[in-house]
Amino acid sequence: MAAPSIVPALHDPFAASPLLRRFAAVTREELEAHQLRKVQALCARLYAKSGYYRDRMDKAGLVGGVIDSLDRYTKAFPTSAKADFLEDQKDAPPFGRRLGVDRDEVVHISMTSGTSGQGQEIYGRTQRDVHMLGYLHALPWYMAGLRKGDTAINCVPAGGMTTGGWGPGEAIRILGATPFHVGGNLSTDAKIDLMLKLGGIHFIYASTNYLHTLTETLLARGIVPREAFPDMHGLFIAAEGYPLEWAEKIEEHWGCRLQEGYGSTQLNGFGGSTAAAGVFGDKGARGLIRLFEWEHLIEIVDPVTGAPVRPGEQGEMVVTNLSVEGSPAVRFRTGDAAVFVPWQECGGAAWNAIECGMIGRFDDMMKIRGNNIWPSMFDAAVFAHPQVGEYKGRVYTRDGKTEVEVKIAVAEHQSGLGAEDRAQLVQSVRAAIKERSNMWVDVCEVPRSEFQGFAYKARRWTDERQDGYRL
Amino acid sequence: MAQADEGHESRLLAEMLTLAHRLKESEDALLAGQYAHLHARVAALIELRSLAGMTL
Repeated sequence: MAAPSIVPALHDPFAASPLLRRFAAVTREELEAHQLRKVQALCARLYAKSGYYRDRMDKAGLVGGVIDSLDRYTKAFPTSAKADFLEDQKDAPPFGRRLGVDRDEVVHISMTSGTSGQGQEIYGRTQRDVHMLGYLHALPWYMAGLRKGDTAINCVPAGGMTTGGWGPGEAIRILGATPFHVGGNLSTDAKIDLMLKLGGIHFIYASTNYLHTLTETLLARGIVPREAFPDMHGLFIAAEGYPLEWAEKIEEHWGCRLQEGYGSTQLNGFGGSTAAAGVFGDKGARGLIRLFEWEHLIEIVDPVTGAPVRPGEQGEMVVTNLSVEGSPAVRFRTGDAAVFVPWQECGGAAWNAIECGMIGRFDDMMKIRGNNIWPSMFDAAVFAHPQVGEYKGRVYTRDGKTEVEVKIAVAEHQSGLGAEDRAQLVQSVRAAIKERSNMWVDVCEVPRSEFQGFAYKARRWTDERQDGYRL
Repeated sequence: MAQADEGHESRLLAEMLTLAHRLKESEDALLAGQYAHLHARVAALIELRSLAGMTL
């Protein structure tokens, strides 16, 4: 699948920034030398200032926090996972012994959302970290075309104690653009009313799921986004996977390029983005999220062995912050699954990449009837049907057998669909799921109103299998 | 002594404002906004001291 020709190409984002041009021109050798210098400084500092990391370095034989090569670092420095950070916080509340700066240097809090159900990690950030938080959002948005004087709509709920709550505000401000932080404050209809009043809007940042909701609501109101917002030149999504068929429709509806970023609390913002290239690659392939490897060391490893995966393989992302002062993540196992694309195969610059639109979670993986299933497989099968507005899935046990139920809702702008077409849609979705997952599942249609509260960060799946084992 | 320090700080801020202003003129579009942010922060520090006559 190729990018729709209706969408104009972005101007080269590197042309207007000599700094970015230099970043793009560094060799792999220079980049890795930079990473080593940063890792050495980080480990030396943490050996002196963080009991948590000092203990780990001592146990690994990295005495004094001395690191002589990246190879030794990635082989010897023990990884940490969410459970380790939560335990550390429990032992030394609120920040744990991993803080790494004096307590009075902490001026900002970032917490994870808690959607995993395990608990929320807490990160204490310094003044410099807050600037970097903004910069690590601004960097991909600059590459995506956001400029001084532009009007940007931020659909992610602002404020609070999340990285995604503060990063966008800082980012848009330091780029000199004008933000409207509408996320969480206004209903989707109210957002649209505001956008129509504002007129000249140039950029939207939203979760994948919310861009879908926004677009669907616009279409249901008979509004063609590209006609209502002719100045729009960038849509930027994060957080969830999607099928390319959906991306093509989005670009067609909005008449501008769709870009994607990979970010997290642990990265203090974004760790990579599609830059200006969009989510479509060559010859129907997915595009690439190029990693900002001068800001983060990102390893993609086999989650079982810890060894680096080969090109084209899926692995778990393990991240080390190279520029974060407070609560740095050092070889943190994110649980995020991505397909590794080495820099040599990326068509320029020495930055490695991951495939866009396909970032999943290893801990979301469901073992169903002997198959390893990720929700992203179902996302791709269901949303390949533009008539579907939303869906949810349930895995449960009936008569001792594992069953899967998928409920779909027809998109609001497709509400005129007749009974026969709806029945056909259900069968088509069922067949698409079978094709991608090798499983026949039950699919049924339910009213769109069953999906209230799904707008920002969808958790579409519930696993109720244990409930079925009650005697 | 305190007054001497305040005068020193005022001079430093004025120098920083001049330097930040020069940075703000950068033609690097990624950095220009960040330099403008820096310039505005220094300008705000000068402004908030003005009632006490601490500006140059």
